[in-house]
Amino acid sequence: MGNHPGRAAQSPAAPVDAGRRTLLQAGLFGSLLLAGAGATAALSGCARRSESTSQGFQFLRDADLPLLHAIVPAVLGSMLPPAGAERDRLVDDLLHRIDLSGYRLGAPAQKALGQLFDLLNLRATRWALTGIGSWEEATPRQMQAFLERWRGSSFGLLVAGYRALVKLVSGAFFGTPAGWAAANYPGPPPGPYQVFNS
Amino acid sequence: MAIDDIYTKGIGEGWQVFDASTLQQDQTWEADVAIVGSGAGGGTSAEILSAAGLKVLILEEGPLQTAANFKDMNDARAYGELYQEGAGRATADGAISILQGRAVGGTTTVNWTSSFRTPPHTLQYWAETFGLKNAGEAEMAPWFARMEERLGVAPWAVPPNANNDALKRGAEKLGWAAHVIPRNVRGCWNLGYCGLGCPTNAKQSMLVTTIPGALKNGAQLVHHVSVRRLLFAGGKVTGLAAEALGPDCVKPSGVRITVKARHYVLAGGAINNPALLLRSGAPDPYHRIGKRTCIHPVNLTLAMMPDKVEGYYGAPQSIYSDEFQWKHGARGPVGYKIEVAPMQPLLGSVIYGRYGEELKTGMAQLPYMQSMLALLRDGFDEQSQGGEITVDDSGAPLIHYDIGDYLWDGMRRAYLSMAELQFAAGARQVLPLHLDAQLCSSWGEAKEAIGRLAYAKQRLPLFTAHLMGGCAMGEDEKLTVTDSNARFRHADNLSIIDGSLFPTSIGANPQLSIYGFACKNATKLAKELKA
Repeated sequence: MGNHPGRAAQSPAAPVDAGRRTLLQAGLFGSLLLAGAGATAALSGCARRSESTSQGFQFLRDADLPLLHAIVPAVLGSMLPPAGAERDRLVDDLLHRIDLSGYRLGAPAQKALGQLFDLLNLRATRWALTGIGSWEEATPRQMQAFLERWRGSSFGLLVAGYRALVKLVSGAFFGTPAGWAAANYPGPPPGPYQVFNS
Repeated sequence: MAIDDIYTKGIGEGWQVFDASTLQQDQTWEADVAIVGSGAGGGTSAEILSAAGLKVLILEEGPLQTAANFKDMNDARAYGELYQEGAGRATADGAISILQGRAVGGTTTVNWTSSFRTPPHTLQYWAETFGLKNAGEAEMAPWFARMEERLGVAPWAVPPNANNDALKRGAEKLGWAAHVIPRNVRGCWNLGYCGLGCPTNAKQSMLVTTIPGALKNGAQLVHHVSVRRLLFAGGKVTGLAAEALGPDCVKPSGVRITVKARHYVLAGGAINNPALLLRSGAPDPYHRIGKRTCIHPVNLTLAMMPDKVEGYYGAPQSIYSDEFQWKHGARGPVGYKIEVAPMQPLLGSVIYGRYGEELKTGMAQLPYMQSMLALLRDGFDEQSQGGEITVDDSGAPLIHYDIGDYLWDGMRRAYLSMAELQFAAGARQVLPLHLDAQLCSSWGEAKEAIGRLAYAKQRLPLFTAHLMGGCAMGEDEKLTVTDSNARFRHADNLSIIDGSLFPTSIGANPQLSIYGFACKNATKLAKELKA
């Protein structure tokens, strides 16, 4: 019972690259992941986590922003308004909420999240693990394929990555007025709210 | 009408409350008793020790927030500011999310008010297995009674909200045990926002009861202060070293605080106490610090009901079922308590764990969602020894918790019980919260689907809001960190008074267990220090 075939193996529709599965089973990616992107970054001469945070952010780096600009719409889909100023404002708000979530984490969780971002930002690991060449050019279909692959992976670390990304984005969104509306949540009871806040 | 926030007036009348983030220079403080943490254990101890005439200093890492802050009833603000790691705390592998308070009042400021005495089976198991003395059902009864009186604990007399009523209805239909939950409230408005801090002071958390009580007795409270190290020398604690945090309560401000006290009480909870002891190099000949961390691992099911549930309104927990809790006494296959979870959208979306159109469609039905949760009673079997707290190079806690077949079997049975309850209560559809599960339209379908699910970490979104153990109490020195009176075994002037004492999980929401044991242990400590 402790072992499971994974979602992908159960549903033939999910795209699974047989070669990659073999690699995962052989543990090559396992050791890569376990060593963390820190090692990869060092090998490629790109120890990015030591970079300073992006302007206006306390946790996110410049390199994290394209990734998040791709992940936010992939998680929220048509809950985001169509392209325009309203959407830009909301996405900017969400990025700052995600940044604050990262900033408030303890050192070990910050390190793990930073490694996840690094893994997704380095071209080689991104390509191998998500099939995506660049975040700026990723199509919605590619993003969905990436999230499905991670969600269905028999490799716990990828599933953990899926869960972390989805939680960061949906946790941020459903804390906003737009998220409340999407959830048909009327907000705190208006009578008492008025009483406390008048 | 502004609600009285209690502290503005108190501080005006001379309560000694200090925000360490405002300090400009290093400080040294002295006291008879320094208490690290202001939650269920620290708050209760502070009131009792200060009432005995001892000079008490309470050190709290989190912020002081009151009804004046809670009046916005905003989940994003509350989770970010009142919970450990902005509610992002998790086990080291990310598999289990941890909801634990971090504010003046600790978790009691944000808990859902469920108040149960420690079950007799649990007390007996501790006596048999860990040699715990003077803590049988009859010996503990007066301590629980005293704290129930202090905190207004009584079965909830108002009809349950629809979220809880589904549990009641389902259990009645199936002939399962279900009862009303006792809550620590006085004059509750039945709003449903307990988890975000009570905006009316009705919840009798430490924030509005024992901490003000202690401050009236002359205790000092310092918040925004993180205790980094206890100094051990000559079989005693000779001081503690702390750092002031900045106004956002995240990064140290650079100001250092040293505390010298006759006696020290650790009440920082089951994660932070062991971490503090471990990074301080506390004497630990049998390597027991941080062991047997129990968490009541939680899995959930969601039901789509035909009528609105509005699980975000009304007392969050008022009905429970122990139908599957003590089938074999304390031992045997793992037991579980069934309760419900409040459904404000942020928490709702996080437990839902989906993305894209599935997230959109599901969350749009939030008003119709009913949630069921199972608290697994871990720590009562050879196959369930709890997890472990260690520290990383920086001294930050790492939480390790493995789940084997014994607990997976409990998760599977809990999914089944919860789905059966929800269909009996009239659910249209039920979703076991699991990455591979789909909405099921009948009990038969759910039963089959639950049987086929893969039981492995990461595929089930797992949660805990009950952190217990890591500094187990009892008389067997090879198994425990403190004696039966909560005295640390290897230093003369150190007590540990909170949920980290429990050598197993409780088998019920733990706050009243913490209050009862804190009341007993702090009363004894006060007598000894005054002698």
